[in-house]
Amino acid sequence: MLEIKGLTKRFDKVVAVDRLDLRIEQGAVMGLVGSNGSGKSTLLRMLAGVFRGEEGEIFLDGMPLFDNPSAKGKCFFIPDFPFFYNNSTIENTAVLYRDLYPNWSDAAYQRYCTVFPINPKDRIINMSKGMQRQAALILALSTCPQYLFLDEIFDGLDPVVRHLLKRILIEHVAEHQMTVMIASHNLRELEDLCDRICLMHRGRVLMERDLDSLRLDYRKVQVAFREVPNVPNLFAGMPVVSVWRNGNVFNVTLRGDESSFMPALEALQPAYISAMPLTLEEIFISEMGAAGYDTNSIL
Amino acid sequence: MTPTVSFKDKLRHGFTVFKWELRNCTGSLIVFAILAGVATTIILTLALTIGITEAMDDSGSLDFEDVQNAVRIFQMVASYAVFYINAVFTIIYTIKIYSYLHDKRKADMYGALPISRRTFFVAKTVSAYLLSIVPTYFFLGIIAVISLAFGQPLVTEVTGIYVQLLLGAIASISFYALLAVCCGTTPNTVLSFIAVNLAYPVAALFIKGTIKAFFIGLPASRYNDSFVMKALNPLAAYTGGNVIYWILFTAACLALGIWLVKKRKAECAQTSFAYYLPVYIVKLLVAFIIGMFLGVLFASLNVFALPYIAFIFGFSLGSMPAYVIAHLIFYKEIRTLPKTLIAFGGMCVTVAALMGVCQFDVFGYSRYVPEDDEIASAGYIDLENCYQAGSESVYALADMAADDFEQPYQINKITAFHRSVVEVYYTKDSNRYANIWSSMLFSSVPMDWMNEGKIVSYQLKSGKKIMRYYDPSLNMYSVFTDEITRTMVPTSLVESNVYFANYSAFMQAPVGSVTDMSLRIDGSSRNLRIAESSAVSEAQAAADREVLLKAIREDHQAHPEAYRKDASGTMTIAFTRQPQRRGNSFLDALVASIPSYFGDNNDSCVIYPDDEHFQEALRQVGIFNSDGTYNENNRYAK
Repeated sequence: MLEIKGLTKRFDKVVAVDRLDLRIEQGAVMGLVGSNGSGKSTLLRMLAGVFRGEEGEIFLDGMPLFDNPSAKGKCFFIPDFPFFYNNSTIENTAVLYRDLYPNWSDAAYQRYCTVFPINPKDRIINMSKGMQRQAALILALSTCPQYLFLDEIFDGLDPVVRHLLKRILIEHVAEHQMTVMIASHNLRELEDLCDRICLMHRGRVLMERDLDSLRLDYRKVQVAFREVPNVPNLFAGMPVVSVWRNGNVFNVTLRGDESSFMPALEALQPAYISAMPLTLEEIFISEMGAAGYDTNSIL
Repeated sequence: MTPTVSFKDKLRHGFTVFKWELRNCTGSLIVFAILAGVATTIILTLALTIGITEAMDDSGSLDFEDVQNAVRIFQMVASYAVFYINAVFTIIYTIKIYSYLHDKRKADMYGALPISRRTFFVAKTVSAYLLSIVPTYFFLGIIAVISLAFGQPLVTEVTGIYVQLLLGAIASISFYALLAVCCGTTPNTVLSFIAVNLAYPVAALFIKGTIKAFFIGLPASRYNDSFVMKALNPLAAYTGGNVIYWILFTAACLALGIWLVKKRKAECAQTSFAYYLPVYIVKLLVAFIIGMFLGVLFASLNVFALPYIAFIFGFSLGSMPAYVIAHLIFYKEIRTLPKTLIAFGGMCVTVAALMGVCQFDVFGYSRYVPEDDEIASAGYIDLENCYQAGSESVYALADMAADDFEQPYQINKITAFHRSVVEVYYTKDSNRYANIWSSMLFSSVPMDWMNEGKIVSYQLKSGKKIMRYYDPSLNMYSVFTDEITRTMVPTSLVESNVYFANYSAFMQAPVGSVTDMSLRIDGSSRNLRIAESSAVSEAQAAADREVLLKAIREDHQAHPEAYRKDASGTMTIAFTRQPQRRGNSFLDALVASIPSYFGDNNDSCVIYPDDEHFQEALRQVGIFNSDGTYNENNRYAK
């Protein structure tokens, strides 16, 4: 289990992570989403032991994580731009990881070298961005990590490899109870993979929830009227997050169960009414807007 | 609970890092091996070709000694070639190895590895040592084997390279490692390393020059060979001296680096600095030396006719722009300059205050001559007439001389000389800033000159010891040469029996160091040389010299009143001097050790007919017959 207690990280006067508390159970796949500069990458670097917070502590299975080889041996971090030397190949880089990571598996290494369409003898530096990430993934998965921290891992991967990656990660989670934390702006991919979502803004956790329950919590309702009722606030008393009007048609985002707002909407006698769940992206925009992120002017 | 990593695991991790570094530096190692191999082969080929041509005589036979000489030249040239090639590659390996601290992406990779920061840093440092030293030792070993195969053992200079290389590599790499931990970028680390290595010795020279120029009479001012001169200049460790200091320096840099590396913020990669110590050192050193240069230049040219004001003006004019430029080079912006000006201001005030102390002789050091009635005993040494010159430092001689003379008239001669020196200094040497330039580079007379330095020292009744050293051989003291050395020197003291007993080779030289001895028997009619000849072996001659020298010492002890000092005396000895001793006082070891030189390795004295021990010794070695008459057939007369 990964436990973050009161973690704060500052870069000069900028507070990148602000008194953050988080608890991630074994076997969870957590999507870390948030605005640019919300502290996602910084948090991952602290989880990987690269940065040390000014305040607070990270515990991994009860052990402090920073500069602790035993704890770090269970983790692997793939940053947004993984580093490789000019002469690095997957094969020769594996030599370093094989000696340092206690759970390194040659069998897993052989397997992933065949699963991902990459020659382990080729120079990594000459590969495309997506292939470099695949190279990093082969090495990461070969260390059989119990905690895998991925920063913008889908960036540059083609749809087939993205699908492959998701399948492998799900297998690992199912078989080895691996905990995965993925920071990404690609919410569509996270939706497929994650069971929990952590939404960050200005270094703080706005929301950390189970993805399914999060989805159930929001509804996008399209309401059409033959003639719009002449009342000052049409949706007053309903848990409205946002409203967008196009003539006689209203697109309303509401929080909560359908049973809590449908009777009130039907009471307005619309010509047409339809409710559907929100995508993660829509939830993100709604929540960020609620948190003061000026989504209207940006969008 | 944090599980501890065993030492064995740390070693294993360290070895893994070493293998990783070895692999990453393979390209550079191959280039080094090619260059060193080719250079060695070229030098061997040329040396043997030229050597064998030289060794071949007309009959076509080979003089093997000439071939050996050629191999000796190969050994030296090839060893130095490998040594210098190594220096270049050490720079490459070292910069590469520590770049992980300065590259964001490398910091991500290495920072996430399951190895502690300290273990990783130590492993990187040991890798740098080994990559620098082992390949070079390998090639030096090959050179040694080739030389030995030709029957040429290793010459001292080449064996010294092994130590120089080891010391230089560990000191320089460790210092670079410490700077790498403190700096945020590789260019800043390299700049800091170069700047400290260059600026520190120049700053030390300015300080030395100033002390020497203003504190006239200081018997302790030379630190050319001291660690003070090279303290922050680890490239100087490649010269091989100050072994203990460089080992301590290396250990200190490593310890500090290991301590700081865990605290270092990884996000400092690609920013200016993680710790601000190096940048302050560099900026202040650069500002200091440029300021001193202009300040001393203006003052020595007597700008404004007020040397001190000229110095302050020049110092400010030089140091401020230098400080700002150094800041801009490191930070690439000027926004942060104002808050670092406090340190600069502190340095300026300190320099101005200390220069004021020098200029106005605030403590009266140069002016002070004790009153005769304060003095319990005094000493005077003319280094031209001192056996110990060349083996003892000026400070050590001054220290031992303080008890020599106790009579008031003797003390008065010494204080009179001392006063005349001080007076000349204050009346004729008006602008001492000009002396700083020569004082920076020269601390004592060159080794092949005869030392004309004069030492005065006093044991005061209060228990305090006062010591001064005046050297007329140096330009800055040229005012003394004509006016003082000919008139005021207390010559009678030098010719006294006390002086003979304390500072003559006859009384002080170890008997084994006397290599030659001449005797004039019966006036000038018979000259004998107690030395090896066709009739006498060196062992016999040495034994005879020992007998005769011991005899004259016993005679002088028996008749201390006998006047023996005479340049054309009846007995002359030649001797080898003891090597210069250093560090015989804390001051010596720290900053002082002005070596005393003496070019003349012989001494003469007068022998009297009533020197009983000597007469007996002459009989013992067979120069005199048993009845005291001269033995015409003695072994040295043949």
